[in-house]
Amino acid sequence: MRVDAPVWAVAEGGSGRLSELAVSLTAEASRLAEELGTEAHTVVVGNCEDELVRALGSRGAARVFVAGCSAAQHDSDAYVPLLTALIRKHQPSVVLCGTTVLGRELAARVAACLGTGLASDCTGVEMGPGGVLRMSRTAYGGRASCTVVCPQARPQMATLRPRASPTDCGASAREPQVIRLEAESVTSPRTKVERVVQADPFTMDLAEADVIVAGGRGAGGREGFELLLELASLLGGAVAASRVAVDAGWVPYHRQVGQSGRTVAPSLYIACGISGAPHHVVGMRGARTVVSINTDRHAPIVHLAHMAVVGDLRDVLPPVLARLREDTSRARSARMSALGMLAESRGDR
Amino acid sequence: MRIAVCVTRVVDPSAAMPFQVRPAALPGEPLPRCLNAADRSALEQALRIKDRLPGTRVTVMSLGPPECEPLLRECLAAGADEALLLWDSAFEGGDTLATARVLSRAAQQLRADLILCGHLATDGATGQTPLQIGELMGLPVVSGVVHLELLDGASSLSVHRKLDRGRRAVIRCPLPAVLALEPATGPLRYPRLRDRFQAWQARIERWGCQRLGLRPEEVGERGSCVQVIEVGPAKPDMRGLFVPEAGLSGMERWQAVVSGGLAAPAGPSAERRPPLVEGPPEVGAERLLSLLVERGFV
Repeated sequence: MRVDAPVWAVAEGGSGRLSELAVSLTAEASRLAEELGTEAHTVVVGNCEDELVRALGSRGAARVFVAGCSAAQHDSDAYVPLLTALIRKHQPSVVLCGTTVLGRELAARVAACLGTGLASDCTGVEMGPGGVLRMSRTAYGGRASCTVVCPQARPQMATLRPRASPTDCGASAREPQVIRLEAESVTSPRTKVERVVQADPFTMDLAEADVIVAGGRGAGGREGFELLLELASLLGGAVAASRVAVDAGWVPYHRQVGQSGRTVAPSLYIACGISGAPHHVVGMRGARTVVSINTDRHAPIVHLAHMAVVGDLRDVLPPVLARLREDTSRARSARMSALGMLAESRGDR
Repeated sequence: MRIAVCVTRVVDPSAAMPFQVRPAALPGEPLPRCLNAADRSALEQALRIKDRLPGTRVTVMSLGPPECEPLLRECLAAGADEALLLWDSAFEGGDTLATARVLSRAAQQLRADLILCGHLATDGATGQTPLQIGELMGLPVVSGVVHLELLDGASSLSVHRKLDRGRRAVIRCPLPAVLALEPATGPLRYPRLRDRFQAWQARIERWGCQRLGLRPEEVGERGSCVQVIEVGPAKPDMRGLFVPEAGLSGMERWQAVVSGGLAAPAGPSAERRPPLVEGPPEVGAERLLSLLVERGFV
């Protein structure tokens, strides 16, 4: 194996939270590369905007491979042969993937093709002596933590959960070299994604939700929950409720969060008209970002929230919804026009 | 149609884990074991196909020591036609890829049209084995399956797959294929007593390296890339216990303790208070939107 073998991060292209993961994986890869004295490279599967390339460069990526593909976003069939060939050609010493639907699948299948070791769902990776990566992960349903290594086979592969706040390595920031891979090298997938069914905010399993919009007494009734429903569907999240709202019959019991309901840990929890009684709070403490909208500036939830808007949700939410609606329709029309252009250019050929 | 169901024996998820702390090691006495929950659901789906398509043969197979036999008998009692124990002393200590090598070879020899697995073992929790079986056999593989349906006279499948944010992908997949099923597809049926008795008398074949045509250096510890070097109790949750501010009055400290830290009044840590947004609703809406954009939710 080469001494200067690079450290790779494999990330999904896209915007918002996906690019956040791409950036944190790159930061992790460049940290390991620095310890090894080599370079960090990032492979982006899917489309990659210039903004993301710049962000990856600022986290230490010396080279960015963009494997664009017209296949559906959640189709690993298209990317497995591509990534396998790329790894065989460049021989990185470490390959890090994200713990996403695509990342997990891609990592396991590529590891099988290459006949190398993979540790999935790692909570952290550290460089050990001799360039052997020490990968920490939990097992036995979270009751045990273990450290695994892959001493001989290369590359050493791991799927990682994103770190909460990746640090900017300002000193080594540079303009990365971008290598775009031909779409032709992506073979046709064996399975076909026929359609993607969007989740209904009122029936989505709360454990699966990344964004939860919850309402309490302050929602005032079913009409209030209509607003929350719209916000949840615009954010791709679920609607939840405190016990008061469930007892009043505004929403069904399976939406209840708290001591006598479900315990959730979404990335974003928007508490609308919820005071934050301890019985409710125990069910949502794991949320990464908490926003509260409440008329009472002394409500207990205010002390827990990262942002506390003082006001009635029926006054605050409508302007938010109007803006989000506008954004969605604009994004959709942009996508439609892009598709139209694609169809035209194909017609020309 | 031939269906192979891969099942595995896991540490009972409800059992206590009496760890040895120093040196960190798994408990010495044998841990209580059971059949993996997702694998039970995979077997149930296989049996449902058998109910609908007469002539379907369901084979359960498990890579594990002879102690796995009672669990295979449980599967036979529920309705599986045949059970295979894949065991050889060379199989011991394999990682997911070495396991996938054995299982894929067995599925090939069975000429299975459909290979069903649970999506995750509750103890190892890697979720890699089904995907690697598919890759080694060169078959289409779908993970996170929550619903499946046979189409066009059992030549292809329509499966619903779990995506992020509660979304589902509807995928069309040709047979033969490998599917990794979520426990959400439904629990395993309850066997009749008569079937249980019969299952206890059934013969369980044992396939080793020779029968499968595998070399001992391809499987088990020798064929593995990954080594577990340390196992210990889970690292504690980073969230600290709530301790009220020492400089507060007794009444305020009491209030803070009773509320679990929520009603902690402004003390020296007052700067930790959240940014309160007051004023007309438009201001609140604006700030809320900018937070959504800043954290990448829009």
